[in-house]
Amino acid sequence: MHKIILFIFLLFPSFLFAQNINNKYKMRQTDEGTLFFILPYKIPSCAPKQKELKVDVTYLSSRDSITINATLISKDEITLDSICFLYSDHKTINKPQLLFIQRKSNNWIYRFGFKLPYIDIKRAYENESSFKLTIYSKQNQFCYQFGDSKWEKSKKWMNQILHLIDLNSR
Amino acid sequence: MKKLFFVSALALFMTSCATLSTQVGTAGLYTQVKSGEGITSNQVGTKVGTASAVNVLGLVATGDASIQTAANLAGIKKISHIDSEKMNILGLYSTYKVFVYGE
Repeated sequence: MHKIILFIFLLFPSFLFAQNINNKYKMRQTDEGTLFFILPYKIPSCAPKQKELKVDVTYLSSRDSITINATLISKDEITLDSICFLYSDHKTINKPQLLFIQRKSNNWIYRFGFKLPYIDIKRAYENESSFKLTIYSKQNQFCYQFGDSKWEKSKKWMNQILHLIDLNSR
Repeated sequence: MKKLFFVSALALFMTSCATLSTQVGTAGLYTQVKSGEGITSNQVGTKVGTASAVNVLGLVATGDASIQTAANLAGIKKISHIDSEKMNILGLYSTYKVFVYGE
């Protein structure tokens, strides 16, 4: 019995965080409008051996686009070419803006940013199935997409943040 | 005697646990405190970068929560201000996050 109580007691904080979207975003007033920053989260890779894509999202109410900064980990040296964001039948192709390249252990770490129309991210997160993000390099391509259960969880908290953005942008 | 030994061992263990000091003191049970780390004369920027470090059981502490890393991750060249967030659960798990704003 004591073990069960201790288990519930230790598990309590995880429930606390699971329900709280305040840990997932930051909001700040700037001269150019309200700035929203969605803290880094991971998008799983379609290929089992490939590492997840770590992304964070910045939105400024005075602009109609969002900026996504992403970290891609690759075993091989690559030259980034383009990024394809696909949801339903809608496709957006972007050019990545490289921030830096690092070498850690045996991996190459690519940090880059790209922009997406705000309406696209909003519609993508209203969709039943996950969007697909494909990063093309001259040597290879990297595909990222949420699985069904992770998509449902991600959709839930992201839609709450997007709703807050809408309310603050009125 | 056994109880005394257990309490002493626990107290000794907890002195080096994953607690974090904050502007409002150190809490052993639960901490979640946001605070400001610094400000410059630059205009409030539209870019945000974050970096974090984690401590598990007071035994393993890893991560890079440096301002430089957070700024690099967002491509920030002019920092306007820096915020931080400290979180601790029961002295067993703690995180430190730094948020850098700028252009």
